[in-house]
Amino acid sequence: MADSMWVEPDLSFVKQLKSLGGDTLKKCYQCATCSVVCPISPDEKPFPRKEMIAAQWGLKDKLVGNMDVWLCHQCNDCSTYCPRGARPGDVLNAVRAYSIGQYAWPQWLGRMCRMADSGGSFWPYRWPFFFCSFLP
Amino acid sequence: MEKKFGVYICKGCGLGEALDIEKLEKKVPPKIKICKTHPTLCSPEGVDLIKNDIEGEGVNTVVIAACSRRVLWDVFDFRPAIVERVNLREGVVWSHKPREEAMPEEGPQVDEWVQEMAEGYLRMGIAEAEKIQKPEPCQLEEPINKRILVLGSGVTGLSAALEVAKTGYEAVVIEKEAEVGGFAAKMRKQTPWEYPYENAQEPVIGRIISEAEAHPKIEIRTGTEVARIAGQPGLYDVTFKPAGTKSMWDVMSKEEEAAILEKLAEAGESATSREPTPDAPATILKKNPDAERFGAVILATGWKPYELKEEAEETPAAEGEEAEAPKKEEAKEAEGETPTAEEPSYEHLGFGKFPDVITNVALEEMAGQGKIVRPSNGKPAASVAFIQCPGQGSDEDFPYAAAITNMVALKQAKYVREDNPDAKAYIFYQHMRTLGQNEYFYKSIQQDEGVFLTKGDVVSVSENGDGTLVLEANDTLLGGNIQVGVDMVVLGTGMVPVTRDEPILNLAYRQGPGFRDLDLFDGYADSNFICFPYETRRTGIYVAGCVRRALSIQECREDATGAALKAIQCLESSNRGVSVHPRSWDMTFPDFFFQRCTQCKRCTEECPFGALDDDEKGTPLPNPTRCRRCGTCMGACPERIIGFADYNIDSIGSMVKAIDVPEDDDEKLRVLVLACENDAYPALDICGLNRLSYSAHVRVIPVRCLGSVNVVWIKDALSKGIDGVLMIGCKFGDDYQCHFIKGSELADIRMDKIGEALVSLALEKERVQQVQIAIDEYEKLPGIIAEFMETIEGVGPNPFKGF
Repeated sequence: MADSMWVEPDLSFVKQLKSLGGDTLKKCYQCATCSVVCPISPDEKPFPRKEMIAAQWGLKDKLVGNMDVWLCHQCNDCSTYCPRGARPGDVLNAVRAYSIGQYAWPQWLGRMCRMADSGGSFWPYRWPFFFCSFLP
Repeated sequence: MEKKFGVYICKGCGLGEALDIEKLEKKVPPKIKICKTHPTLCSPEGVDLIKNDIEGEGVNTVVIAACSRRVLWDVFDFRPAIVERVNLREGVVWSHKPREEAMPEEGPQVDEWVQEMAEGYLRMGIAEAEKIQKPEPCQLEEPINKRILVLGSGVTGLSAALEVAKTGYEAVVIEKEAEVGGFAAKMRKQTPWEYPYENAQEPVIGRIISEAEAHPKIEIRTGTEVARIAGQPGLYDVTFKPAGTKSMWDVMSKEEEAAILEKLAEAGESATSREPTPDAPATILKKNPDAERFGAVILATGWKPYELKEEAEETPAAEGEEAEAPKKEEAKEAEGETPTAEEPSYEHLGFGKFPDVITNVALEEMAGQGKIVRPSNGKPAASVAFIQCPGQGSDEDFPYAAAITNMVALKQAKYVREDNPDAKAYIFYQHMRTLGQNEYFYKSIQQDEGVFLTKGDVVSVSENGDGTLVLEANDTLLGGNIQVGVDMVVLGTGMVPVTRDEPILNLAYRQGPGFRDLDLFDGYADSNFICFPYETRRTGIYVAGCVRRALSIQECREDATGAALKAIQCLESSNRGVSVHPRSWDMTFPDFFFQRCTQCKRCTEECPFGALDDDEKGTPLPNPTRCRRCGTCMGACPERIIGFADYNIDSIGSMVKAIDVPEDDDEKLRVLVLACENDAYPALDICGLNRLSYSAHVRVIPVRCLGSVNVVWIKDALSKGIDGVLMIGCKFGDDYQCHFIKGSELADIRMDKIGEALVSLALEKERVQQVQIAIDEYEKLPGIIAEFMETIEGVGPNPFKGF
């Protein structure tokens, strides 16, 4: 059907978010306390609840490139009030960290900055770029 | 026994201040020589006063005018003397605020109406005490057998047998299948039952089986079914037969019996003297001399999978059909009988159409035997969707699904992940019910990154073209409608209690081979869920496990303990000649004056527990240990030939006749209240405790159940000039609260009929009313009584007054 979204969970994306500091993300049970306590959550499409389920389902496309995660200023009210300890603030942080790795130029620099990330940053074909960066 | 009366009036708890006790004493009939008062009758001195009279004066009938019969019964227990309690405290003084304006100018400050009420109750109490007899324990002619028969050898059956055996009783377990263990034996894992409640655990059934098989007091017989259970608790005569065969001792339903008798009559054979055959089995009156004797029965026959309607395959795919064939055979086997209700169809889910759409039961069997693979090609399943609700706009679960169905989905999602670390398991639900500690299980499964949960309305399951399936769901938590591609779909179908379609017990009872009115409980073998778990409408037969309610294995084990204890309690009550729950102290059994019986069979039909069979002529055949002493037979009998030693037509009738009816005072209407002693009478007492006042013109008589109310009492009351009769009983209907199941409902039907009779006597129908009340609705009672008094004031005094 036209108004139906095809969903393909990305298991590795979930694992990466977990390793980037979002290890609590699977605890969310969608009560929306986070969206209610969030001081900057908009009335239309409130966050971070929708980001939480997208993270649980490994919906990379919905999160990477999502502007909402950048609105968050990490006050951590959501994490404080979350009844299940899912720490939405930390999960948004992990999403941002992942996005930096994805969009930063040069990407390797972004990924290097992402301290917690250990996966796939130093692929051999990127090494030339690494050396180039030291050129005057 | 010559009765020697002693009347004792208490002055404590405010009785002495609110009543003129001296005047009350004078109302005691002069033939009663012993009438004493005491400032606190329940004190040791007060009790000694009564005891001394019993020992010294030979008093054997004690009338205590003090508090309600519901309190201090242990203090005022003077058995073997007859004790009659007159409720002056809760029923009169505490529940009737004296009217300021009615206080006499001199003499004791007592409201005349309240005083009259106390005098009325005292007279009624003495009248009742004159009519009742000391109950004798109801003893069977034969010694009772204490072996317990357990039907079903699943977790519940074997656990019950173990509980029975550990308590020192013998248990015999009957299993229809060739193997013991039931479905639990086929499972890979079970939902958690001990701390930390986070992971599915090894099934306990193996341990239970070996423990039960090794126990010297347990005998297990496989491949066996019950042909008939005849008799009564303590004396059940049970005939067994090999499973799946016909026996000459099978119990026929009424329709079957009528058909067979007709056939025999055509063939010129006598119905009674014929030799029973498997095709024309013996009638319930015939006794099998070779039957085995048992004391009580525990029904733990469990459940069977809910059969989904299969969708016909449109274009038969060779691959799919192969896998389909054995399943269809299984389905046919299980069908056997026609389903009772119209089964819903779930065409959109493609069950039967796509081989990879299976039920949770099929998945569990597969998981128990090995890895989870796609039925269509035998390859491992990389993604599996669990559907909890059929959807399509409705948020109903599959029929017979319950909280356990959700738990099973969580457990099976974990199987998928265990078998393949890259696999994905989706759960689509409308309600995720993980009760109590099970929430820890939910939390732990949710932690698995490959388990994806969402609420959602499943719209369709269709083919993807590459042999996989596409599931479409609307209104999901992901913010809209979604589609996911999956290898397999598992439907969360429910567990159907076997009692829905078959009587199972095959009781040789006049009321039929199974339980009655199970459609009220969707076929679950239950009688009164909240108040009396494990009880059924057949005394001596207790149910446990999934035949009673869809339960987890751990809950089944707890259930088994409950039912085992109930069965033992039944044996130990029958043994002493007392009733089982709820009148578990009651020694009386209804006496029948058979010479005047007209064989109308109302008692046989209306007994909620099927205690009465009948002989060829239709005369009732009592089975004392099946009886729970509610008195419904007594209320039903038009000849009024049924009664108990301490509760009968005459005893209550005499109380009605003892009510004072002022004939010259239009202000003083008289209303008789017949209050059920299970809920209504306690509620009236609670009114007293809370000092809620109601009209002083009512006279309350407690009855065992509204079902025991014989219309003759109402006729007596109205012909005596009493202006109205209010019956207060338990709620009836689908969610009835009647302790005797049908009592208040029967009373309602009978009162409908008496209404017509009243009209023919030129009396208004409104004079007799029935109201339903629960014990916690006591605060409504003063209003209900006031409203009824208003109605009676509206129709005016009873024209029969003074006749």
